[in-house]
Amino acid sequence: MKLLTVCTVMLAALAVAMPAFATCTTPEFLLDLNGFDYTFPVPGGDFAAPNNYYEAVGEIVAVNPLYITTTGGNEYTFYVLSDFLATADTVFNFGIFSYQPNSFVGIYEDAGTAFDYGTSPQNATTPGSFVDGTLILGGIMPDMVVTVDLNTLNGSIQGSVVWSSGSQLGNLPANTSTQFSVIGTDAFGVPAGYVWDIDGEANLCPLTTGTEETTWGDIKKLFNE
Amino acid sequence: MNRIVKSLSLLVIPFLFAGTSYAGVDFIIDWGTNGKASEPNYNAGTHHSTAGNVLTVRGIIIGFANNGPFAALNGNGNEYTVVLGNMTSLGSIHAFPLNLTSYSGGEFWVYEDDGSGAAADFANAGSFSDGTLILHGPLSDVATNIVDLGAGCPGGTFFANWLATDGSLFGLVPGCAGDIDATWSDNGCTAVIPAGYDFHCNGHYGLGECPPTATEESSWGGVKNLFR
Repeated sequence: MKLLTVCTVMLAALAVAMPAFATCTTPEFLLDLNGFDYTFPVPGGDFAAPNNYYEAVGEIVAVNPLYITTTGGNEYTFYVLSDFLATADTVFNFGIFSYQPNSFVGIYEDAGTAFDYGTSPQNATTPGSFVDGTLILGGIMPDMVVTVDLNTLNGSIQGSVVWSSGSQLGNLPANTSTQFSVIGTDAFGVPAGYVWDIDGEANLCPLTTGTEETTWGDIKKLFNE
Repeated sequence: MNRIVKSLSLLVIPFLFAGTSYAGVDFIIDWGTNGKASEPNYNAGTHHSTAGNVLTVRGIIIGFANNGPFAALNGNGNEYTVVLGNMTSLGSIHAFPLNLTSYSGGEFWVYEDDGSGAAADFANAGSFSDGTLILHGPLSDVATNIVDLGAGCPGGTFFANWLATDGSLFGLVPGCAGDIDATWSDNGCTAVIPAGYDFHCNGHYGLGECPPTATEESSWGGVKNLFR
């Protein structure tokens, strides 16, 4: 009996793993991309203009075949369309632009027309030639941030993507988020009317459920409620 | 009128030799997602780099711009790697949500391995610097930034300027300069950071400017003769 009491006390004091929160554990490569970006309708990278959109188009240069199936000869492109600006701050010599939570990211497969950046987007081919074909992955970036070095005028775009549509959505493992990380540079090859030459990647981040400590007593309470 | 023509014809003018132009070239060297960096004594939790830390970046090149100076290297079966090293931290400064670090010094090396060396492996630092040194030079203005909003994955950029000074393929970009830009993350939620490394980076070399092409003095007559 004494032993039972001791055991009961011990059990009550034991730290028990309880599902509590989701964290990213081991990210996996999803895709590598490059292209160009622009602001619209006010051009020239005016991120702070009222009701101005940030947009980016380009090609997918590599994918993880575990999650995206490709067909030789087909063209794979992407399109990013921001939500409206939420906040704009200057820290040191950097402008930090956060967007409202419905920025769109789409990945497309096209067996027909070749993409064409043209100049001064939006134009006859941008974003049109990047969003034709089949949407294979589409999602929302609820936390998109553009950071601009106000000295060099280079920058970065980052956020997490929640995929919700596309013909290959089913290829993605459940319970993942995707981290979108891109740099932008004002390189020589930027077509007229675009802002940055962008280069980056998207990585899948499997979410595992974390734990919190509790007691057997608290667990029993859960079943009594 | 004749006098004017005569005067012009006697003018000695600099004639620009036709040189190789890479205007509009995209990323002349691209290591894609295959970049990792180490900085002993770096604190990823606070994104703080202590002054005096030494940063090294290693990358496996995935390709060269098809319209760039190294295009002929694409698809030849050799392995190409890049090392950026000897970058000494000047310390970090922090102001939410930014974390900025500047570095002094720095050099870059680009290697070609025809298969006789070890396959590039982040667990074997030497595997990135075996083979033939095809391009080398100093770095300048090295800086990183990481934006940490307190939610999601912190991330930012790596930036440096490069100047080609030597290497077996130096002749393809003689004295040329440009920038190196990369995504930059010190948190494993963006991409895997293997043991012994502190950062993941996806980046490339951009080609900025090459020295003016050589000139020689000539007369209008000499120029006209070229067209005959």
